[in-house]
Order: sequence, then structure tokens, then C-alpha cells
Amino acid sequence: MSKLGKILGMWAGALALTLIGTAAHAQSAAEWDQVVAAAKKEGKVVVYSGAAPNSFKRAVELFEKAYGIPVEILIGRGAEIRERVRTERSFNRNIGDVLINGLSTAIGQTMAGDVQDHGPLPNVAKLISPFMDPPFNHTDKIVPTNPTSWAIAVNTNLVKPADEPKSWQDLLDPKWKGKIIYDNPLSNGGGQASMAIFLEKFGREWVEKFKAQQVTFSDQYTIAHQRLARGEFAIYAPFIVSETFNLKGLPIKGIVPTEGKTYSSQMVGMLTGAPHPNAAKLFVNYMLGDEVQTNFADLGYTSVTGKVSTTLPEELKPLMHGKLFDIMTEDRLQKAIPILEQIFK
Amino acid sequence: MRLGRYKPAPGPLLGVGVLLLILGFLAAYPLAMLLYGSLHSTPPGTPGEFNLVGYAKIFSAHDASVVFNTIALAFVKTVLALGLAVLLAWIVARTDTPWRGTLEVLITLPFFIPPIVTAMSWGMLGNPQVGLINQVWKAVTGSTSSPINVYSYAGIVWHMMQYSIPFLFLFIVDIFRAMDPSLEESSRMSGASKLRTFRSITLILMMPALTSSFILSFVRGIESFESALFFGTPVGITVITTEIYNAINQRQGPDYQYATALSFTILAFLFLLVLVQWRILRGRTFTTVTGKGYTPNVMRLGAWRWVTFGFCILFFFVTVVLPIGQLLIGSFFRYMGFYSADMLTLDHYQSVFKNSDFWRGFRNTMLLGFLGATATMVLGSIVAYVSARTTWRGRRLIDAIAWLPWMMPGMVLGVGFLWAFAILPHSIPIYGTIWALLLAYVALGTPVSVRVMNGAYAQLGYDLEECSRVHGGSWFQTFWRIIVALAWPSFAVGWILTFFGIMRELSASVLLYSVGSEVLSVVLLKLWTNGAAEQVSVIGLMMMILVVLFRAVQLRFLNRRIGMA
Repeated sequence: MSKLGKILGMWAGALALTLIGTAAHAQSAAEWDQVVAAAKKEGKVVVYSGAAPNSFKRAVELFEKAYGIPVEILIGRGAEIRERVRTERSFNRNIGDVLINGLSTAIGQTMAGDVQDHGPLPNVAKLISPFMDPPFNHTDKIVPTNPTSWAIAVNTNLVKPADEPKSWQDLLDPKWKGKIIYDNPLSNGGGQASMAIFLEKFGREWVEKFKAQQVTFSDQYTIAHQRLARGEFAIYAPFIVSETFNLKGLPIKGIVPTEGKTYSSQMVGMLTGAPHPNAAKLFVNYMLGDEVQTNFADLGYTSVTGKVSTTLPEELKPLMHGKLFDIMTEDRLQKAIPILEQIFK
Repeated sequence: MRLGRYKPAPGPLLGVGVLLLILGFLAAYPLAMLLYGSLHSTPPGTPGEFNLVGYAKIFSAHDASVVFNTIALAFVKTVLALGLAVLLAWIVARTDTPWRGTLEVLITLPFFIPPIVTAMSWGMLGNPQVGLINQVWKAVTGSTSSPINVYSYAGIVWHMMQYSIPFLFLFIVDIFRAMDPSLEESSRMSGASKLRTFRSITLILMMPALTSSFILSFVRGIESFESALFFGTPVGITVITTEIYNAINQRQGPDYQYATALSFTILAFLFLLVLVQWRILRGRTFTTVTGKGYTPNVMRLGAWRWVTFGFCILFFFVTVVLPIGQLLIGSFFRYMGFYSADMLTLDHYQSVFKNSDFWRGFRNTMLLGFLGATATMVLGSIVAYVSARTTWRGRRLIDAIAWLPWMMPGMVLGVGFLWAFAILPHSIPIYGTIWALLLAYVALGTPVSVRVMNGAYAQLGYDLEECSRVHGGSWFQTFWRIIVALAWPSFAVGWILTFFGIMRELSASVLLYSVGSEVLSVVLLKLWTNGAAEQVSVIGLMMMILVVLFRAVQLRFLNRRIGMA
């Protein structure tokens, strides 16, 4: 083939691909329009949520306003939602359409078959690294919505700026002995996930030394905040940075450790046997939309699509959107738990 | 005693059969689902195999210390609470202590406040670093050490007692009130001292109520959750319920097999206790309310009545004024425990009043509370009647089945209801409806209603029923116009206990509620999860006002009926 022929061939190929792509896009857009129409016809969507209700309140309002589809939310603790979903699926009693739960519980549920494939969702393409890959975007069944990050909090009446811990390592400083309150490392949540990360990154000896600091453990972060603010303790970890809004005016300051914040995410997926599958699909997709992601950024969460808050005060941005350290995945956590039980039980 | 039992006219077999069906469905069926869960590697509906892994896990050194902790805490709590409750009930019902009517309402208040709210209060009052009590102590004595630390075994016992004392008091006070004082008068006339009369007559007559109360309270102590969670976990004290909570909620995959196995082991132990109680009471009679007229009188204490009054006020101050005052003041500040002028706010009240979830939950809870408490008390009255006052075959079985839900920790029983209702054929529309909640509440409340009514029936003489029968009264007329009419103060107390039990119930509610049937406890959980502890306190205070109203109405009726001053 002549050079001209090759060039013409390439152009023809490119043109064909473009046309196919455009047609496919037009087709998928048309298909998505069908999903939207079917969702409106279904009339409602039932969400089972293990997340703090306020974090999704505005997102739900935005969805209802955008599509005119009412959202009914049932809340519960992560494990309760999990068992309810499992029972409904096992006995064909499906009521829920959408699942919102923490990363490890949601992945456990996905593996157990509680969540079904959501199919192509337009907004999944918006996910940025690392949220487009597992463990976040898990086998096309669940997607991340609003990653929670954990830092260190100090009581500003007890800890002078010069004495503030700068890194996770600083928690071993003897001056903090008996002055730290920490989320129970044997409980499912930030305390356990973060401690599993420390175990991996800093080693067992570090964890044992941390325990030797005579740390007080708490299962209720609300209570831990109160005890820190009242001056019962100088340091609280791991501190959910988005909680800063709820603690305005109290002598509590969040600090991003030099290693970065530990983090996890709320996940959303379509429940197996959802009675309103199209509305569920629409809801899952909408949680990755610009409006909702901007709202999450405003609330102090990291946006999984890279949206930036327009309302967050400048002084809070380093804390809310500062450096991330590591996330604990299900398989690694399962390996860490027996060791944590040996140390802390 | 058995010879005197009243033999009812309608077919006993049918009656026992109907009761067995009802209780079997409400109590035995959910427990059977849990038993399956304890013996199967996976929960119902998921493929797995039968094994004893859950039970094998229990026999570890860790669990032995957990069981020991739990039993020791429950026992100490029960003994102390029962002693104080008897003393307070005696003061209120049988002495001329001033303002007894008011004291009676005030003493019972702590029982009706959500435990997370009082836990917050005591966390502020009794923490060793900055707790108010310790601060005052240090200021007054100049000491540098803190005498009070709620984060300890004593703290757990104290927080549990906050609920146990009013609960037991409610149980016991009406028993004191319904007692014919002629027996005590005979004792006094025979030369016995007041103390000896109290010990040899009054206490002995109250044996059924006291042993029932002891066991109810001990079982509740074993199943107490919030106190250990708030004040034990931070210092490494684990009890059975926090162990179960961890097995269900705090692991990556909930370990229901272990949680249910542990629960059944405890159930077996507690059931033995009940058998012991039956053995203690067997063949003895405790009748104090007979056909002979009597006027409940009160003991004249002279100047000592101001001592008893002072004791009640001290109790009220420590258990109500301190924690509730803390809550009340805290509810007007942005953050509880931070009392500065710039933190003053009415936001928490406004947020609660504007919260549509709260109002919807409130309406549903009121509806379920009224229906549930009434149904529970009717069922409990019948079960207790059959158990205590008939010779029907199977009455012991009925009594035993009615006990069962009380012996199973709430968070496990909630799952039992979830499984039980979900597995029903779709033609029985219970799952996902408000009926699921109602049935669960009736099952959960029945043990208390049976105990309350059992205690009341045990004091009624058979002569009244026989008299009614001789004069041509039917079984139902006799039951309604003699038994219910005489036992109604206990019925009212049981109703209130059940009503507020429903108001507080969370474990089953959160698994069974559906959209539109949210209840108050779920709304509280929502607020708590959002970190709105101050709004939770506001709702706690509103619940308390409701209690005061209910109790005032109840006591007004009671006063009218028995002429109590």
C-alpha cells in the first residue's frame, strides 16, 4: 500500500471509530434516559444506610429535587443493616433498593451477594485515583461516595502549640502517658482500621508501646469528643476531621500527622433484588454527580471525583483535604485483627 | 394452697392451648430461630452446617472472666438496689413520712430516662479528672485526690442501680400498699418489736414479690448493656453483653453463632434461678388481701418521719437532681458541660421541635406504646392468673415460656424477631409492617407484666372468688370484677413499665421498623449517630415530663380508689 493509501486508511479508521464512539455514546445516553424514565415510573427509592444520617441528608434532598423521586431512608448501625439485608435477601422479602455502608462492611456484603451489579453508570467515569480502583470501585457493584479521614485531635487548653504531636509516632512520647483516649481497636471502625495500618507500617512493637501509654479506649466517639473537650484527656485519636463542624467553639484542634491521615469511605451500591432497580441505579449514579460531590467536599469529606469545596473556610482546608496516609482493606484487616486481639484483649 | 385453687368453668385445655399458641409464637418461636443460629455455622437462610463451634468458643479463659464479671456486677447491683428499693417503698407506702405522693413520683423518674443520657451526665459528674463531684470535694477538703471514678466496677454498679432502684420500687410499693396490716398489728400486739414485725411478717409476706423482683433485677443486671459500655469498656471491663455486642457489631462479619450460643448458655443459667425461686415459693401461701374489710394504714414514725423524709430527699437529690439538673442546664448550652454565656442557646429545643422525624417517631411510639402496653398487660394478666390461680395442666409451661424473652439479651432477641418474622409465609403480612414492632414489644414486655400481676395475685385470697362463684358469677365476671378490680393498681404499674419499656426499646425496633413506622428510639439513635448528644438529652427530658404526667394521673386514680393520703 502506498503512503497516501496508508494515510487515507488511518483517517478512514479514525473516522469510523469516532462514528462508532459517537453512536455508542448516543446509544448509552438514550439508554440512560430510559433508566431515568423507568426510575421516575418506579416512583420511589428505599435506602438502607449505616452512615451518619447528616452526611447524606443534603445529598438525598438534591436527588429528590433533581428527579422528583422521593427517597425513604432506613438507618441502623452497620451490622444491623447488614443482617437486615441478608435476611430480606434470603427470604425474598426485599424492601431496600440501595445500600450505604462503611467500606469493609459494604465489601463484606458485596462478597456475600447482598449487592448486585449496577451496570454502566455515567458518573463512574468521573472517579479519580485511587477511588476508581478496588477496594473502592469494587467489581462494578459498589462505588465510594465520601471518604472519611482520621487525624489527631488535641485539647488546646492542655496542649500548647509547641507541644502538639506532629506525627502518629509522637503518640508514643512518654509525656502523653495516661492522657490519650483512642477509639476501641477491637471494634469495627476508625480505631481498628487505623491501628491495623499502624501495625503494618510501624510494626507490632509500636502497637505494644502505644498500649503501654495507658491509653483509655472508647466505643462512642461523641463521648470521646466530650471527654477531650472537658480536659479529661489531652489527645484523642483517630479523630474524624469532618466532625470539626460539630465541635465549633470547643477547645479541640485537629492535626494532620506528617505521615498523613488514615482514611476509609462510605460506599453505595444497588441491593440484590431491589424492588426499584432503576431508581436505585439512578441514586447510585447521582451520588457521584457534581452537586453531591461538592456537597461532600463542603462537609469536610474528600471528593471521590475531585470536586473542591466552595464554602469550606480556608483555615480548615489543610485539615479536611490534607495528605492521606493509608487505607485498610478487608483482606489486610482480617490478618491484623487476631494480632490486635492478642495485644488489646 | 392447691386445694383452694379456683377451678374455672371453660375448658382448661382450650385455654392453655390458646395461650401456648400465642406465647409460642411471640416468645418460643423467635428463640427457636436463635437456637438454630447457635447450632448452625451460618444464620437462617444461608447454606452452612450444624456444629457446636459457637458453644466451644465460650469455654475460654477470657469468657470465664467475662461471665464472672457479669454475675458479680449483677449480684452486687441487685442486692444493693433491692435493699434500697424495699426501704424506699416501705417509707412511701407504709409510713407517715410527709409528701409521700410527690416523693413516689420523684423517686421513679430516673428509670424512664434513656441510659445514654444519664451515662453522659454521670460521665460529667463523676469522672476523676474534671468531674463536678470531685471538683467540689477537692475545693472543700483541699485534697488533691478524686474520691469518685465512674469508670470502674463501682461506676457500672451505680449506673445500673439508677434504673434498678426505681424499677424495683415500682414493683414493691404497691405490694406494700395492698397488704392487710392486721397481720402486722397482731404481731405488735403479741409483743414483737417494729423491727421484728417488719422482718418476720412484712418481709415474709412479700416473699413472692421480693424473689420475683430479685430475679427480674438480677437478670436485667446480667443483660445490662449501656452501663458497661460507657463505664466499663474505657477501662477494659468486659461483660457478657459488651462481648455479644462486639461479636455482632464490632467484627467484620457478625458472629451470630457465638453471640447466640453465649446468650443461650446464659439463658440456661438464668432459667435455673427461676426454678430455684419456684422451689422456694412452692407450697407456701402469701395471701394478704381477703374478703375481710381492711383499711391500709401507715406506721406513725413520730420525729423519725423527718429522717425518712430526709433519706428520700437525699436519694432524690443524688439520683435525680444531680444528673437531671446537669442535663437540664446542659440542654440550654451549645455543648453539654461548657457553661459560658456565649454558649447559651435554645437551638437544641428548636431543632427537636422542628424535627419532623421526631414528631413522626413520637406519634408512632405513642400509638405502639398504648396498644403494646395494653395488649401486654392483658396477656400478662391472663398468663399470671392461669399460672398463679388455677390448677390447669400446662400452667407451669405457660409461665416458663412467658419468662423466656426476659432472659435473652435484647440485641440478640431483636435478631430472633427479624429472622422469625421474615421467614413467615408471604401470606402472613407481618414483616416490614408496624405489626412486627407491636408483636415484638408484646413479647418483650410480657415477662414483666406476668411478674407484676403474679405478685399481685399471690396476695389475693380465694374466698373472694369463691364468693363470686357462689353468687352465680361466671368465670369471666369473676376474673374481671374480682381479680382485675383488686389487682388493678399493679396492672397500672405494669402498664407504665411496659409503656416506657416500649418507648426505650431499640434492639428489635431498629431491625423491624420500616419506612413510616420509625419509633422514638430509632430517632434517638439517629441523633446520637449524628453527634447531637444535646438533642438526645432534650428528648430525654421530654420523656421525663411525660412520665411525671402519667404517674400523676395514675396516682390520682389510685388515691381515689384506696384513699391514700
